[in-house]
Amino acid sequence: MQGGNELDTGLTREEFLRYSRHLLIPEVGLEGQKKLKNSSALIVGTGGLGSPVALYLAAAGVGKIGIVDFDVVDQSNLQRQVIHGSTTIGVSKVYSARGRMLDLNPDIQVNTYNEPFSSENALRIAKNYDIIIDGTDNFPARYLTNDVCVFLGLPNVYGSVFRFDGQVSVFYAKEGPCYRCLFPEPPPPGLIPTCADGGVLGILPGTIGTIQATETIKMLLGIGSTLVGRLLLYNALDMTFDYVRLKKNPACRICGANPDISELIDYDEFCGAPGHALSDENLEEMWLISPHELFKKLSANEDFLLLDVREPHELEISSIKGAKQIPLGQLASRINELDKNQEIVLFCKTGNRSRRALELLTSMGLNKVKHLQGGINAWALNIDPSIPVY
Amino acid sequence: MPIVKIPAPLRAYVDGQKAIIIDGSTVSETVLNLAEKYPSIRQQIFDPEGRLRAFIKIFVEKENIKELIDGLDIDIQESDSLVIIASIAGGQ
Repeated sequence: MQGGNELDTGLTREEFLRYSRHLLIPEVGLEGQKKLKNSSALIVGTGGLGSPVALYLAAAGVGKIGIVDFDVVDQSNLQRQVIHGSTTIGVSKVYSARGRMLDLNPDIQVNTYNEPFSSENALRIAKNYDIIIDGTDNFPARYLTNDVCVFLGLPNVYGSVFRFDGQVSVFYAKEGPCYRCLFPEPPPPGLIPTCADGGVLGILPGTIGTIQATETIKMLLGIGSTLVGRLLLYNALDMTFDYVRLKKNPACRICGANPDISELIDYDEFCGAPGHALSDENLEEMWLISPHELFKKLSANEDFLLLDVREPHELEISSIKGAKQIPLGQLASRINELDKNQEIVLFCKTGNRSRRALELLTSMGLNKVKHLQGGINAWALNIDPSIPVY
Repeated sequence: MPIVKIPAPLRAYVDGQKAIIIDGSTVSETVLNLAEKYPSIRQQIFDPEGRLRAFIKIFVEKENIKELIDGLDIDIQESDSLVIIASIAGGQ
């Protein structure tokens, strides 16, 4: 026997008991469990995807786990971010997650980085780990995570979710394509709705994150067929798993034959806007209307069309009396329902979709258009407290 | 006629449909027919110059058309599935 409770096998007596189900699998066994104990993984984001990844990597006995997040736990997170709880609302997510991980497995080391993952700190943080798991929620962070992995030669276990659909892959430039090989550029801001606008089934990031954790364990153990070179497409509503084949792009700007990206860049600038949400900062005042200004217009019975571009089911949550409803997706094909000469005020939940609708209508020649800053949620906060913010 | 599978973020532009049977003998003909039938999806798939947007990928029978020699001009069979994929970023 070695010092303390450590046996000469590399695991303690307690660890033999804890990991007995792993030790019984020939593909893992004692060697595999020791590999996990001596490996490290960095999880970027401790939200919907990061929650199951952190729980399962901790439970599996990955010896050193880093978690990066700058956010605090909020009530609205608990529908899907199962590593946190009611007792940690208001607590920094990394500390909330660390507490739960060490409760599940006190034998591992959990390093917390209570800061945004950025071009300034990403390489410094990530260089201490064997593998990176992308649990972020915006395009700048996803391109940053990819580029860090390419520069450090690390696998990037990628997952993303929207409504009932999820995508998973392992981007690993040493052995296959990277994220930029598949998607060289992000969508223009606002073209693809975020989960905050489009919603997400709470359990979906649970499923996708659990698949990411599975791929991480396989990569660390060096077993099985991983998702390097494949993109898994999951639909929870139809319960289908499908995949498409991915290849390295010889013209990839970071891992191709003649790369022109040789260091981390300004990812907000690359993706068009901070956090990739549409911003009103660069929009001239003539296109904007505040909740108070809209209230005055409605009170004075001015002649204008109030147009709600949200989806029909959102009307059950909140509405503004007198508004016409055309979902953003139908606006181009129902343009003939609008009068070019009448003033139009657009609104949605928070202002992202109405901003997009504004761009669409002006591109189609309707110029007497404004959109409500902050959407109906800002209306609820400033004008009508009887309707809920969602 | 080939089946075109629509990714979740673009379904709002095709009346919520997940898959649509669209006439076409090549990839470009099929996608252009889709954009003609559902005009709102055009600006999501093509940029103002008419090129396929960089965050949209089209796969025929699991293979990315960009990696096939003929790209958008490749012939497709009646029974082929044409899968459109859009980049999504959700995770929190």
